[in-house]
Amino acid sequence: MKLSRYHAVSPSFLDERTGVFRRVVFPTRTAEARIVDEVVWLVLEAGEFDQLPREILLELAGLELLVPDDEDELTTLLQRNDAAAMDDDNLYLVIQPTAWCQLGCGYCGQEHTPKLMSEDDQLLVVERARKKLSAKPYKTLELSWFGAEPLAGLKVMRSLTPELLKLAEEFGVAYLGKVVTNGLTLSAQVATQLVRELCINSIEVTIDGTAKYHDARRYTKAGESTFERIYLNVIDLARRSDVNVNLTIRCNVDRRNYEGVSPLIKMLADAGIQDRISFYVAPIHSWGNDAHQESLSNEEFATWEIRWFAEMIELGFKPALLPKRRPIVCFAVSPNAELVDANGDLFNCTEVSYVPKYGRPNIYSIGSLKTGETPGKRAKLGDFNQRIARGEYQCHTCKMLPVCGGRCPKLWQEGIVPCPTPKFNIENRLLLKYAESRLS
Amino acid sequence: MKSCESLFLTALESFHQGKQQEPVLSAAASGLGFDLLLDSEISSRLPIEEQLRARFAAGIRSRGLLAARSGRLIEAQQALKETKRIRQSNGLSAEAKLMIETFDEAVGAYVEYRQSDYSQARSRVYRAMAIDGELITNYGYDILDLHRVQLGHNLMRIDAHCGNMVEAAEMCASLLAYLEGDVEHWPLAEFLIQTNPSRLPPELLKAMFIQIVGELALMLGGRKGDEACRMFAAILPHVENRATANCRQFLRVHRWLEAKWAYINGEVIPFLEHIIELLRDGPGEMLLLWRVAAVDLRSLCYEVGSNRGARALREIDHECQAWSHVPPQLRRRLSFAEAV
Repeated sequence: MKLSRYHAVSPSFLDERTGVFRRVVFPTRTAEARIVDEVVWLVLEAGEFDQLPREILLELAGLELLVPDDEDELTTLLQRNDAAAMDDDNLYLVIQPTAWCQLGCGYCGQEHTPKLMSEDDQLLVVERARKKLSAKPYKTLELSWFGAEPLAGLKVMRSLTPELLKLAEEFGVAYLGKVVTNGLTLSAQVATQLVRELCINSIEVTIDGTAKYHDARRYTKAGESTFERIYLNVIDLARRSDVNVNLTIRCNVDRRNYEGVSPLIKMLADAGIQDRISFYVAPIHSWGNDAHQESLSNEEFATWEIRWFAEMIELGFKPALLPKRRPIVCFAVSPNAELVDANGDLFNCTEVSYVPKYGRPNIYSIGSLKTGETPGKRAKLGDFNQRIARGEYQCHTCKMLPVCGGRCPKLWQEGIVPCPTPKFNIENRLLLKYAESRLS
Repeated sequence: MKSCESLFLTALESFHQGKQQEPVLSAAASGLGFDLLLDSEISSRLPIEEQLRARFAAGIRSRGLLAARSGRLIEAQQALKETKRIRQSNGLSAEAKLMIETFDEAVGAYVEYRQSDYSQARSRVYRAMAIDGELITNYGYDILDLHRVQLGHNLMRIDAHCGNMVEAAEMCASLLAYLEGDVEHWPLAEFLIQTNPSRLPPELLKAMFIQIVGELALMLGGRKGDEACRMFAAILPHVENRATANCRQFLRVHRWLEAKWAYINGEVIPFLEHIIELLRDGPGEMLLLWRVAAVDLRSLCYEVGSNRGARALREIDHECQAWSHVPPQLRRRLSFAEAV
């Protein structure tokens, strides 16, 4: 047996209860953390397994931290990922009901036009969903309403949802609804309608820090500030007990607003909603533009993120410290998932529609509602796992691949390294996880 | 003799008393007891490198089984492909290979079952049984006798799923007799080996006994009358304490069988008399059987239709809605009566 290459380990720390130096070890193949004594770790690293008790060795073999000498770990992992994608029994559809957004965020790469999805295209959306549901047995139909700003296309959501619900019922699959919104028009009335009539069970709102930071970058196209309205909408929704919805707040961060994260965390905690929302911070990335030029470096972001996590834990949030197995990197590799934009164009990525830089026709388009899917087009992003296997990206040597999946096929293709923050701060995340477990 | 009305009342009180008690999940019932004993036997026989490979395979296999249970069959097959690669790798002894293979075949059978290939599922169960026989006979792994019974339980489930209820019940009766120590009752002559289940720890035998009667309970559902009598015929010797010399070894389970037989025959008073004590003692180690008894009582209340019956029905209904991890067969019984 050998030590799996897919592992992370915390720095050594003194366990005050036992007076022994220990480490948290995290085999990423199974994403299950364990605490081991420092001496055990040193022996494991040295490969001198015969010096360790049998029980420890057996547990580590069960966790896939120890693997057979002849194991080709990358091949195994990619085969597992492919199997998970083929097995996926969730039909995931992303719909952009409109090409319009009220905001003019500086980092957005989209070009917005006041275009709503036509009635003809809506019919075609339902027909495509029906064909897909007929083709193989699914358990769920998951609808993600995405923008531009999806709530600017509420009319389309209202007319399409009943048809999609009917389909779900007809095929005996559960229906899941999600909306990713800027939150500007997420009034109490709209939220009620989303949850009760449009069967939305997950809402994600983006807030880029406190007013000072948010309003400097997330203003309307007419230049008006938006923080106050969005914030009040979110607080109001989080406090409601009459609607059952998972509410997530995402804070997009770069060099210009990272100092606004801590005050925002404090504000949300002061509002008493820390146990009613999920909150996470995401680095700004290229959206077909040079937005990433303003990003913090990976190392800088990773350091800040640990500080934000610690603040969140102290204030009663429950941040997701350790990544989970991610066999399906994104819907680009799911053979039946797709995004339909308001023009009726089809994509297998959320980051490419309405982006002028990708040309007309859009180089990432995989077809259209009217003509159907163009054979071979999906593979541009969909053959990501094969590309990793061929060694085209750094992922093939990365210990984090099992829990990251490769992060973003599109960015890799554009020559941008999209590695997620756990790659740069997993050691401290493990320490924090240990500290958190001691707190509870 | 107590009146039917008063027995109803007592049964309802028993239900209320029994439900206060927490179910017991013993190490034997969770499979941990079996795993520990097998591990102990392996540790004294295989070199550590082989033990580690076997454990590595077991981890992959158990994740594959979880995937299969969720209907992710390609992932399950991928897991089995990986464990096959492990057992085919150089340097593993024949013994270690067999040890990995028997459990692989059992999970493989389940994957086939989920794909509705029952013939293939059966073949793989037989293959696992043959390997178990070899491991017991040639290498002394007595504990695997229990794995053979588990495989028999899997055959029973396949039969039931294919609608062969009488065959499934016959398999059930034979396995119960075997667990009571009657080796002659081993149901599959072609896989007969010289072994004696009485050498196995009694708590493991009991857990397996309860598990198999639980499967019978799900098969029978709420059936009554001739059809149920035909299915139950093979079990009757157990009800009548003449199946084996140790027939009342697992007394509480036998009491459940007696109650079920009365229920099937529509004998209200004997049924109530049997379940009063059963319900009052709480679920203990036989949660599923206790729940089935409560659901049978509930069905009877519905049929009786008296005021008292209606009250009992409401009270049991209220309780049943809070149950978690209810097998779909039992859940269907509950929802059916609700619809009525």
